[in-house]
Amino acid sequence: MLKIQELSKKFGGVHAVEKFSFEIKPNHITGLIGPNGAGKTTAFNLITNFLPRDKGEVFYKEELIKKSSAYKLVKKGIARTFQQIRIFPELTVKENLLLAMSHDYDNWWNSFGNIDENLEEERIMELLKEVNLEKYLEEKAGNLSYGQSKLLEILRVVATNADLILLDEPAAGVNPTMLRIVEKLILGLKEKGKTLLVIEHNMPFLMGISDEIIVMESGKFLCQDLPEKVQKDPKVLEAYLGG
Amino acid sequence: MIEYIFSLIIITSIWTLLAQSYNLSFGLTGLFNLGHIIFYGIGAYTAAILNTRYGIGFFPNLIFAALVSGAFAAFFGLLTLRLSGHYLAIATLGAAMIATVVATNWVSLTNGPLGIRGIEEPEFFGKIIQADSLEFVVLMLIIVVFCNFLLYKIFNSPFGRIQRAIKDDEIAVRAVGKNTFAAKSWSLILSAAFAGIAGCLYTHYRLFLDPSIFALPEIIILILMVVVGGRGNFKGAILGTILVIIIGELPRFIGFPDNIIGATRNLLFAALLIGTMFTRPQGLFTFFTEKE
Amino acid sequence: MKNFTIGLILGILVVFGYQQLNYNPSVNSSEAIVIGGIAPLTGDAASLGIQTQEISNMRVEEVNKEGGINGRNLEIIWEDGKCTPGEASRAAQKLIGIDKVSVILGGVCSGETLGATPITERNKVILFSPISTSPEVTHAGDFVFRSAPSDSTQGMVLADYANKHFKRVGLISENTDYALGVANVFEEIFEGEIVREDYLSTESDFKTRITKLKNEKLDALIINPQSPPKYEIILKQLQEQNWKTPFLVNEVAAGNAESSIKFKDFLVKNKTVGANFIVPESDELNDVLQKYEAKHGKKVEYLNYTGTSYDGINILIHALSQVENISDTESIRDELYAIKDFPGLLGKVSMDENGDVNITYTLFEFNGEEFIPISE
Repeated sequence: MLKIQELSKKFGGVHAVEKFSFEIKPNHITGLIGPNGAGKTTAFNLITNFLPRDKGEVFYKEELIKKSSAYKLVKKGIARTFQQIRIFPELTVKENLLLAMSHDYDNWWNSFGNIDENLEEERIMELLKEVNLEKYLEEKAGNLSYGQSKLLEILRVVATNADLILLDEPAAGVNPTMLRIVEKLILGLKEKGKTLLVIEHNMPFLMGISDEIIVMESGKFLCQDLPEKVQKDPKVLEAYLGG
Repeated sequence: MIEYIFSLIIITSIWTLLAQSYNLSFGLTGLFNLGHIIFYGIGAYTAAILNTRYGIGFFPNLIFAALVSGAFAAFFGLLTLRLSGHYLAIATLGAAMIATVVATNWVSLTNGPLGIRGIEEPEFFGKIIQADSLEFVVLMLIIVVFCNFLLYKIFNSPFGRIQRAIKDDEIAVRAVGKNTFAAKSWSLILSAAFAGIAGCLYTHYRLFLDPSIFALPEIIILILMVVVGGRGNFKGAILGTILVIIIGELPRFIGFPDNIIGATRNLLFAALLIGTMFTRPQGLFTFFTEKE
Repeated sequence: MKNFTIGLILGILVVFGYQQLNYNPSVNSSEAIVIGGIAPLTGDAASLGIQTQEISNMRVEEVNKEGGINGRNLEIIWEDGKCTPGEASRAAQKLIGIDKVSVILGGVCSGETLGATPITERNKVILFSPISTSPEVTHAGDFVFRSAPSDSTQGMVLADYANKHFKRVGLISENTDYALGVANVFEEIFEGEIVREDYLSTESDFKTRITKLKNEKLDALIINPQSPPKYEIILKQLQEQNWKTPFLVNEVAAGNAESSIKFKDFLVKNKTVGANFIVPESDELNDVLQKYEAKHGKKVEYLNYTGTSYDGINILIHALSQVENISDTESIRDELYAIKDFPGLLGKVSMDENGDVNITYTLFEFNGEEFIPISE
């Protein structure tokens, strides 16, 4: 589904990501872990073109992804969330999701009509019901709690209809009740056929949902294996406890 | 007396259109464009030159002014829209200053500091519509109301939604698949086109144009109108314009001695701005649209 | 918040409305003749605007003491034109719409006059400028008059002289309303070759331009700056490059000998001729100057424009005294066009068919101490 070859990025003299290669299978949930500063978010940015790659190739569904603008990838089917939540606080929850749903702005004239709102309302309600947020439909997104905002951001990514979803720390700062909803949501996405790559620090959570785990250290690939194996791998333990 | 009231209505309506056009790029999209007056001036000069040199009338000039200003904004946007907030502000402010210099020195085009005089009033099927007449007021109001209607449609469309989202978080907008550069460009282009129309209205009303139209004090008043009304707030821009104009006229009418009217006006504007920032920074008239 | 704003708007409307009711636009009763005045009372041009206001008011006071115009006092309602056409047209609209004047004294800046003209012409209101010199004002309108000479006559007088003496000249000219007016007319009338260098008001280094002109084999150099300081900078740089041709200078230079005195040897050696219109020495002039100094505690700043302002208000008063009904602007207009050999500080003043005065610029030569008239 997603194949990364020798991804590299340097900032000044420091290699944030160096010859990073891996492959993930379709309809799998793959976790991405590593100590702080390992380069996980940078890798996300490089894959999704939010940061230009120095070297390396990205293949999505066998197709080579060019180093073009980030927004174009969404149409191809790749979408992501951010480490610090990026929702639209002044727009309503409904509008946050609406925005993610319509892609047809190649024809700008469509943007001036109000054609899409009613068509999508059903789908929006469906999404919101999954996470018990339906009553916030017309609420300004800025009024949501932290956990609710996180859910919204994930829903927004789902709304784009992307097949490959990259989540950056979806469990961070979320209370246990919310966490269960997030877990349910993510597993539900797998059931619907989506492929996920998830950065996380919350090990129990991540191990519980992942089919495979990739470990990064100092910008480099360390290993990729089943969760139980990775947890016991001495190299991994050393990376986290050492240096 | 009635003509004076008409003139106030006409000037206010032109300013309303200008403020609303600025509200689109500055208020809705959040573009830190401090040089909006350029588009107004370009529209005005386009109409003035086409009229005095080629005899082009008021109605076609409305289209030409919009096109030229819009085209200029497209070009300008290409150069500046990749810049972040602060740099964009400086670049646009610099452009506004350059505009004065260009208008003053490109004498073969603009007649330089001597200005362009003898611009004709609008003609409707052979009948000349005199400035400060009832017909002129009606004409202005029709055009301004229509343009505001179009802007209203734009504000409340999916396009408008993208602009509001860009104002909140441009990176997130890209993350949901939107070409934010194109979106911002179009916001600037449309904003400029309407400003150009306002410039055309001004030219065919004042009938004399010189580079002072690009003067910086006007930009400050424009910002004041939009900020006081509430950035991105459609009704707010209209009410903010009217409030600022009324406050501007007050010193003259309360009978202040002539030589301090100018200073008094500036003091009142400063007080209005500071007052708004302290008591209700989202705009004085935002309660009209908030659900309370 | 809602209540506050409604209260605020109502409050403003009340104040506005109340003032309107109590605002007595001195509608021309049998008591006073009220005219309007537009001048820059604030901004860069304020010193000239305020002087104009002071001279005009001073004369009006005097006239009123002597019985006014046919027994009625004259009053001027002044509005600040801020030296911009936008403000001047608003001022005109207010004076005409609210104060109901039929005559306006103004503008001072040419932009003010040209900005107000569409409104005054439409309303058949007399617009009499005591100061504006832009050539554009000549044909601005049927009801537009002025008591200051057009910059085009300055260009004309310099060009006539150049036609008699030079075949190929350089012209270094500032890009402003005033200087452009002079330069354009010069170019039109001069029959020889011109090498023209227009510079921006923001420039202060002319060395490259001067070097370029030096290589052009010129018979003379026309210097056309907007202000004395600029004139001095140009002279200094010309001197540094050992410039060796005669000079023709504009009124800015010729009207202010102090600047030229700083370079007297250089200028006299090269022969320097300038254009100016002067207020001739006279008892009346000294009288006016003394009265001004007594009243305002300082000397006048602009001597020329003292003359044009004083003559302007006098001509206007004369025309007003000849008509029965001051709303009859067509008669006032006719009276103004009929002005011939009016005794003014500037000499015997007459109006031409465009509403321009016959005062022209004349030529002066710099002798090291002052500019003295030359006989041509």
